[in-house]
Amino acid sequence: MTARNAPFEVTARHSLPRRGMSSSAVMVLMVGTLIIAGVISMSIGAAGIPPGRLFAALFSAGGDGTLTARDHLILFSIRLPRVAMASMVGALLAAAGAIMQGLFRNPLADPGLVGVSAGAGLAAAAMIVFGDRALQSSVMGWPFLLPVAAFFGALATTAALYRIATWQGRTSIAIMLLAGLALGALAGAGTGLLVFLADDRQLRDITFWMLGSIAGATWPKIFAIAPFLAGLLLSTSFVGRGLDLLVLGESEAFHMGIAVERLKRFLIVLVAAAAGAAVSVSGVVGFVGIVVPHLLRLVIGPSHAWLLPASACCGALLLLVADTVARTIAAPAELPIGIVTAVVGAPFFLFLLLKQRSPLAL
Amino acid sequence: MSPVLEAESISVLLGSKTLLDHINLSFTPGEAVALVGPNGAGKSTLLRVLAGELKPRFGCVRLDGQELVSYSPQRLAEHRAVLSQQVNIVFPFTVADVVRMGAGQQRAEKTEAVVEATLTELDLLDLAGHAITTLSGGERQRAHFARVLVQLACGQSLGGLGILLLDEPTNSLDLRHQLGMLEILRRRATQGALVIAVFHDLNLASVFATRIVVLDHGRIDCDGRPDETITDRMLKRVFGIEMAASKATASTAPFVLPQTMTAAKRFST
Repeated sequence: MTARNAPFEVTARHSLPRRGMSSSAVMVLMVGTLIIAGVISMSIGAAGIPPGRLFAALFSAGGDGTLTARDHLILFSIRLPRVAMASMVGALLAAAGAIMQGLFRNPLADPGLVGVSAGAGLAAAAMIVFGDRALQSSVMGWPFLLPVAAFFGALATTAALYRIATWQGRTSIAIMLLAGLALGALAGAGTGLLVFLADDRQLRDITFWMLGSIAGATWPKIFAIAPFLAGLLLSTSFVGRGLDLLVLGESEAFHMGIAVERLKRFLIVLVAAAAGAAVSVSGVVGFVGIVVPHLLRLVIGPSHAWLLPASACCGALLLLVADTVARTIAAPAELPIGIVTAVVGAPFFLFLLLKQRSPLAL
Repeated sequence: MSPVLEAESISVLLGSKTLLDHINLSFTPGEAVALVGPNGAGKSTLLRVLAGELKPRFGCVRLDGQELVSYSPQRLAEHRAVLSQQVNIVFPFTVADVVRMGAGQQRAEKTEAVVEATLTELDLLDLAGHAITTLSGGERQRAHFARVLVQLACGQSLGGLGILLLDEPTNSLDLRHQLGMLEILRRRATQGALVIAVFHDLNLASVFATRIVVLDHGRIDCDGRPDETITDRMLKRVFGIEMAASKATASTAPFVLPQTMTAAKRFST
C-alpha cells in the first residue's frame, strides 16, 4: 500500500507524436479562406461588383453616387444574406454530421442520409400547412416558428434512430443506415401527404424549400438560425472529450468517467438543433455532413475537440463555394445547390462505403 | 486489511435466467484475483457488476464502504479502471491518442510522463504515432491495456483506491506479451492495487493470481489460493473433465495439461 501513490517515477525525455499540433494552424487557414471566399462570392453574380467598388459599397451608408447606392442595395439585400446563410447552413450541417458520426461511432452518419433532415422537413412542412391555418397568416412570415418545428422533427427522428440502431451500447452501421432509410421514407410520405393538403400558396412555400436552396436567404431567416449556430459552437468545447471516449463504446466511456446517458441525450439534442435549423431555412442539402468531417479527420486527426469547430468552419466554406457555383455556373439561371453537393458528395460517399467494406465495419 | 470492494449477496437475472446467484465476495488491496469458470458461468457479468456498469437486481456492491451507485461516473473512474473484452474503434486515433484518453481531464504536463512510461512498459513506443485502426488485434489490445493502466495511475495520483478490472486481458496476445502482461498486473498488485481479471486459461490464471474464484452457473464453486482451487476435483466438478492438476515443485503454482486428460466424460455445459 505504501507505493500506491507513486507508481511511476519516469519523466518524459522526448515528446510523443501529437498530430493535433497543426489543428490550430489549419483552423486559422480555414477562417482566412472563408473570409476571402466570402468577399469573392459577394463580388460575383448577375450584377458584378468589382472588389474596388465592393468595399466602397460595404462601408458607405449607401448615399454617395447612384452606382454605389445600387451596389449597396444588392449587397445588403441579396449577396450578404446569401453568403451569410450559405456559410451558416454549411457550418450547421457539417457540425451536425461530425457529432452524429461520433454518436453513432461510424463515419457514414449524416443528417441528410439517415432521415434526420427528412424528419425535420416533415415537421417544417406540417408547420407551414397547419400553422398557417392556425395563425391566419403565412408561416413564412414567422421565421422563428419553422426552425423550432424542424428542430422537434429532427429530435424525434434522431432519438428514434438511436434507439433502433444501438443495442447494448453498440451501434450497428447496417441497421443505422437501413433504419435511416425507412425513417426518411416515412417522413417523405408524410411530407407528400401534406403537399396534398396544402393550398397553392403553402404549396409554393413547401416546394421551394423541399428542393434544397439557399436562394431564399433573408435577414429574418439568418437571425432565426443564428442562436442555433451560436449554441452549437459554444457546446462543441464541452462535448469533445466525451465524444472521443464514446467512440470506444458506451461501456468504455462510462468506465472512463463519462455520464453516458446524459451525454447521449445532449448530443441528440445538438444534432437535432443543428440539422433542424439548417433544414428550416434551406431544405435538405445532402452530403456536407459526410464529406467535411472525413476530410478533416485526414488532416487534423479524429479528436473531436478540434474536429467539431473545424468541421463547422470547413462546412461553411464548402457550402459557400457550392452556392456560388450553383448561382453563377449557368447564370442567369440557378442550379439547385443540392445538385452541386450531391455531385461532389455522392461519389465520395460510395468511396467511403467501399473503403469500409471489411467485416469489422458492418 | 479492510476490504476495498465488497459484493453483498448480488443476483443478476436476465429474463428468467439467473446469471449470478447471491454472490458474496470481498477484496482487499494488493490481491491479484482470477475469476475462472466454464462458458456462461457469469464471470464477465460479475466483472461488469463490480465495475458499476451493470446494476444487480438484488444485493449491492460497496467501494470503500460506500455503495457503488452513490459514486458519479467521474469519481468511479478515479477509483477503478476497466479493460473490456473487445473494443473496436473506426476512427483513426493514434495509439498515443488512445492511451492519453486514460489520463482523464488532468493537465497534460502532469500525465504525459505516465503515458510515456506506460507505452514504454508495454513495448508500444514505436507504435505510438500509428493509427490504432491499422494495428493487429494483439497490438490493439496492448494499446487499450496501456490506456487502462494510465487511468489507474492517474486515478491513484488523485487519491483513488486503484482497482483494475480486466475481462480476458490476455486475449489475442502472443505468449511473450501474455507473460509480460501478467507480470505487469502482478507488479501493480504488489504496489497495492487490487487486480481482478477474468481468465479462460487456467494456467495463466494460476500464474497470475494470489487468489482464484471459481464460478459455476452463477455461483461460487470455490475461492482460495491457486493450489487450493485448481485441483483434480474442481476440474471434474466444474468443467466435467478428468484431468490431473500438477505442480512442478511444492512451492510453485499448479498447472493443468490437456495431455494428462484421462477420459472426457462430458464437456462444459
